[in-house]
Amino acid sequence: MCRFKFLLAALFFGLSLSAVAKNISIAVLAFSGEEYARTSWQPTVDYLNAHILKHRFRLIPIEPSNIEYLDQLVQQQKVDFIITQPVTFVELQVKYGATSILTLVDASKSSEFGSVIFSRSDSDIVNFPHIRGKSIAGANPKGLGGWLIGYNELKQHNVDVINQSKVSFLGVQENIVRRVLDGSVDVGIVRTGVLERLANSKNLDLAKLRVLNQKKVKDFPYLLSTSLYPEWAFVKASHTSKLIAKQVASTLLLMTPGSKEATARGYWEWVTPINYQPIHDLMKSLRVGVYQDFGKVSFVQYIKDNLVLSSMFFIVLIVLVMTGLWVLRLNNRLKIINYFIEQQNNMILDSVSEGIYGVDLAGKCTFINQALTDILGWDKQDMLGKLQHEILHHTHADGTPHPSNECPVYETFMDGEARFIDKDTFWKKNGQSISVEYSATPIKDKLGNIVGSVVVFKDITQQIEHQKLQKKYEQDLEHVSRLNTMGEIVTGIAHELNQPLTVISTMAFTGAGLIKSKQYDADKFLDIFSMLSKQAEHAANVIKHMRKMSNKDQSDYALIDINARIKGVITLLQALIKDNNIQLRLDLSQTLPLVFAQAVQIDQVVLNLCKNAIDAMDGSDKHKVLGIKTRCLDKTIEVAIMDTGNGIDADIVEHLFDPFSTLKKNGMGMGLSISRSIIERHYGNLYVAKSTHNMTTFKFTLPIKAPHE
Amino acid sequence: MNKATVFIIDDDQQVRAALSLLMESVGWKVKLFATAVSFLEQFDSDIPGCIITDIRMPMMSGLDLQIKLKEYRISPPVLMITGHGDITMAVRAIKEGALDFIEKPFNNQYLLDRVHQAIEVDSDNRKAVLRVLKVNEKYNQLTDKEKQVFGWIIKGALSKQIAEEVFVTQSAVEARRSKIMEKMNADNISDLMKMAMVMGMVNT
Repeated sequence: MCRFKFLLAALFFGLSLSAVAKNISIAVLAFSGEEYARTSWQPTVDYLNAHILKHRFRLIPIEPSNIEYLDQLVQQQKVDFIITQPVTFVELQVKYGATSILTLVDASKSSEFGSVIFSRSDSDIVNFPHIRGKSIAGANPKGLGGWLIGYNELKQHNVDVINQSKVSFLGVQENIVRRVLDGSVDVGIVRTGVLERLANSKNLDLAKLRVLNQKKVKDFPYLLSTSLYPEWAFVKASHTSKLIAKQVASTLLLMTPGSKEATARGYWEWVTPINYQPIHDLMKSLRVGVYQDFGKVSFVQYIKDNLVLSSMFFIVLIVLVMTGLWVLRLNNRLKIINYFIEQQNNMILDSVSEGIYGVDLAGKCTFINQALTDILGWDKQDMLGKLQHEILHHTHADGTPHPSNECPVYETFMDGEARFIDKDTFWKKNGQSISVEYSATPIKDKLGNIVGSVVVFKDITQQIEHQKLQKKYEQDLEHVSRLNTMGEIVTGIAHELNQPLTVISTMAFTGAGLIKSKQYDADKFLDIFSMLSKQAEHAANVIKHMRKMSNKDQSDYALIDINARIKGVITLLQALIKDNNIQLRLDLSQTLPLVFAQAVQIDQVVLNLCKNAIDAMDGSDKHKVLGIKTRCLDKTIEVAIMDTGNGIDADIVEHLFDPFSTLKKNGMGMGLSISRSIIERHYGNLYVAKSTHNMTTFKFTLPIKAPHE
Repeated sequence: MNKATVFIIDDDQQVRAALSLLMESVGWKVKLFATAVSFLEQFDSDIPGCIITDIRMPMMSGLDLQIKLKEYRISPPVLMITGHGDITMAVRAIKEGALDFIEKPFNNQYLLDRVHQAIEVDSDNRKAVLRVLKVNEKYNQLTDKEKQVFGWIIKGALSKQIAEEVFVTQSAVEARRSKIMEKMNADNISDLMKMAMVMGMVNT
C-alpha cells in the first residue's frame, strides 16, 4: 500500500516536470531493504542528476521478494535502468533484451566475486567429497555468492549436495558462519569477502574455519573456493534510448574511484561491462531462473531451424511408429489370447481339488497345480525341474526306501499304460507323510510318442482314518448288541449259575453233617467231592462264556469247532430253554471240519439266532422245539436254527436284516443286522431258509477253507 | 406200616443227587424222580413221607403235580424248590396247599427242618384218615334200622321221641340203641357224637 502511494506520487511528480525534463527511472534491487537501498544509492542518483541536467533521475528500490514487480515495470517500459546483481540481469537480458552498460567494482577493487565453501577447522571435512551426507547451509536458493556459485562448483566436482546432503537456507550470511562455528551445520557457503568483513568487524577468528578447495586468483583479495563471476551490473532496458545510456555510462565511468557517492554504497567505481557469460553458463548448468527449462527450448529451436529435414524425419518416424504400433497391437492380442488360454488352463488346474503334476521322461516335474501346494506344501520353486520321486515318493509309509525303478509314475511312461494306485504314501514339505490314491496317465505328443506322464492324486488320509473309525464303531455296535443280548438272557444265566451253587452248597452241608454224625463213609465222601469239583467247574464255565461274550475286543481268527461253540452258547441259554418249557433238539454233525473264524463273533451269531428262536415261541401253547442242526456241505458248513413259533410274514422277512428293524418289544433291532455283517465278514451267508405259520429256520454258512489259503 | 420216604423230583440230576445225599445223611429214605410224570406213574399214596419238587420242569410242572395229587385221599405234603424267586408262583403254590416254597440255593438246615416237619404233618394226616376209616368200618356194620336210630341219636333225640318218629315201641328203640353202642364200641352218647363228627355227619 505504501509503495503504491509512493508510485502515484512519483508519477504525478514525473508528469509535472515532463515539460522541462525527461524523467529517468532507475530501479535498484534492495537486498538489504528499501530503506538502506534508498540511502545508499541516492548519492549515485544525485551524482547523475548533478551531471546530466537534461533529465531527472529517480530511484525505485525493489526488494528481491517483489521481483515480479520489477518484471512488470520493465515490461511496461516504466523503468529505464536497473542496478542489479548478475542473475537478475541475465534474466532481464533473456526475457526483455536488457543489456549491461557497466559493471560494478566493489570496495576491494574487484569486479568479480565467488563463493567460499568452508567447514570448521577441527572437523573431518577437508575436501568436497567429504561433504556428502553432511549438512550444508547457504543464504537463499537464488543467491549467487551465498549459494548458487558454491553449489555449482560442488556439482562440477560430482558432489550433488541437493540429493546427498542435508541443505538449509539461513538468509543472512552471518548466520551461516555462526552455525558452522557452533557445529549445528557442517559446511557453509558464503559470498567471497563475507568472512574477511566478519573478521574485521566482529572479531571472527579465521583460523577456526577451513576453506575447502581454496583457490588463488591473482589480484583477488578474498578467500575463494570457486570460479569468479562478474559483479553487479548497471543495466539498460531495451526501450531506453542509446543516447541516454551513453550519457549515463560515460558520466558514471568518469566518477572518481572511491568517491563519497561510491562509498555510500560500499563500491569503488563503475567499469565497462565485463562478460556475463559465466552467469549464463551457471544458470544453464543449474537450470535456475530463465534457464529452468534449458534444453527443451533448444530442441524446438532445432526443429524450427531444420524444417524440411525435420518434416521428412517426422513422416518416416510416423510411418515407423504406426507400423510398430500395428505389430505391437497384433502381438498384444496374441499375448492376451495366450494369456487367457494359459489363465484358463491354470484356472482349471488350480480349481480342481486333486493335486496334479506333470513329469517328463527324465522324471522331472514339468508343472504343478495349486492343490498340490495346498495338500503337500511343495511350491513351484521346490518342484519344477526336480525329480518328483525324490521329493514326493522316496520312502514307504513304514520308513523303508522306495526305489525309483518301482515308482508307478515312471512305469507309466515306460509301458504307456495308465495306472490307478489306491493307496500309497506321499511326503509333504514339512516332513510328514500322507496317504494318497492317484492315477498316472502317459502324456503323448501329436505323433503318439510318450513324452511324460501326468499324475492326479487325492489325499485319502482322512478317508482311511474314517474307515478305521467306522470299523471301530462297528465293533462297538457289535459289542453293544452282544451286551444287549446278554442282558436279555441274564436271568437265565443267573439261574444256570444257581444250579451248581445249590448243589455245591447242599453237598458241602451234607459232608459236614456226615462228619458231625461220624458217618465216615469213604464212598460217599468221594461222591461228594467229585460232585463239588464238577459243579464248580460248570459254574466257572458259565462265567467264562459270559465273560467272553461281554468282552469288547474282537477275537482273533482261529480254527474253531462250530459244534463246540453251539454247545457253549447253549450253556448260557439252558435255563431260558427250560423255563420256557422248550425242547432242545441238537443234531450236530460228528464229521464237521474246523473253520477259520472269530470265535466270539460266531458265538454272538448263534446266541442271537437261538435267542430270537426262543422269543419267537414265547407265549405259544404249542409244543415248543428249538432245533439246531449242523452239517457239512461241499465247500461250506451250514448251521440251521429252527423254532416252532408262528413264523415271520413274507413282507417282514425282506426287512428283517435292516438295522433297527425289530419284532420285539424291547429289541434294539441290531441283532440280525450285525449277525449278517459278521457272517459276511467271514465270507458266509445268513438268511431265512424257511418260514411257515408254525416253523421258521434261519441258516448260516461258513467257508471251510480259510480265506487266506 | 411203611417207613417215611422223601420223594425228590428235579430234572437236574446233580440237584437230585445232592438232595438225596443230604436226606440220607440224616436217615431218611429217599426216592428220586427226574420228572413229575414218572413220579405219578409210581405213586403209592400209602407210603408216608414228603415230596420235594422243583417247580419248573419239562412236561409237568411242580404246580401241576400238586394239583394232580389232590385227587388222592391222602398224599405226602409238598415242599416246592425253585431257582427263581418268583412271588406270584410262590403264592400260587401255597394257595394250592404246598407246605413251603424254598429258593435255591437253600439253607440246608432249614430244608431239613421243613422236611422233618412235613413228615410229622403227613403222619398226623395219616392217623386222622385212619381214624375215619375205622369209624366208617364200624358204622357200616350197623343195619339200616340201626343207622336210622343212629341218625336220630346224634341229633339229640330221646328214645320216646325216636319211637314216635320211626313207629316202633320205645323198648325196641332202647334195644337198637344198645346194639349201636355195642357195634360202634362206644361207652356213651358223647363217644358216639365224636365218631359222627369224624364221619362228617355233624358240623362242628
